[in-house]
Amino acid sequence: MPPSLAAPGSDLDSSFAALGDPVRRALVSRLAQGDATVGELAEPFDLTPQAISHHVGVLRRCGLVEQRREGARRPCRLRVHQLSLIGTWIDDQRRAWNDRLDALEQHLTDDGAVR
Amino acid sequence: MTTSADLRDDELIAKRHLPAGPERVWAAFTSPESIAVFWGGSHATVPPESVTVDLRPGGEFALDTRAPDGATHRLRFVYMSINAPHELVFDEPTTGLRTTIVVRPAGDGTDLTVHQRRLPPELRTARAADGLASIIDALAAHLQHHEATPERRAP
Repeated sequence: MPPSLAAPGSDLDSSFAALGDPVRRALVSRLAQGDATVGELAEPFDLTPQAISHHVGVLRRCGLVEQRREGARRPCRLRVHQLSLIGTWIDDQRRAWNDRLDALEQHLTDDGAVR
Repeated sequence: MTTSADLRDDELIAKRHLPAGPERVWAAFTSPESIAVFWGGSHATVPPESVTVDLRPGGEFALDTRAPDGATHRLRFVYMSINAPHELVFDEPTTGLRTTIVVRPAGDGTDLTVHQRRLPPELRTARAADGLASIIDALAAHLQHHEATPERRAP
């Protein structure tokens, strides 16, 4: 799939949406420092583990976070690839628009020639 | 990384000199037939019958893009302002992305620029703009933190 012909993928949309919440941004920043369980993530916040679990669920569904099982622990981990997609998104837009303008230029040239 | 600033500010996405006057360029961006010809670039096709253009502020502009593998995406935009044949502004509600196309006469043709910006959070719902800088910082911190050890693979 070429980079984003027009729209960012739905994963990216949901990532942007997920990161609209300040708690989830803080969770992502925390996980950037290293893996952590929901309990560990809850510590700095005035929130219940249930509330943190909800936020982790949102981050997991959009692919920003994954959770694995280690015995009784279920540590969360940042999926750096998905995060980096946000960073490369602007470059994708540039490529898509330059490709589109190539086609427009060709179209205008062809169109002009037959007139 | 400079990406965080790019995402928050009005960003020049593309600039092109085109061999046609502003009226023809404007027509290319606002008539369904010609949108279908160029919008997909070299990577996708746009079925002409999928393109709808309601050219007025608040009107919708929509089209399907079809990738070579057949995957089809419906794209929807809303016109924010229309100043023929000079400036066209449209938003993509699902991404909170605003695109401004400026057309200026230049020599025997036209200079076209495309600018984009993500709308400020108060103008859209559940979208992150202000948080992106910190997210990108988090990414940089992560990469630095894990530099010594190879990235573990996702299961």
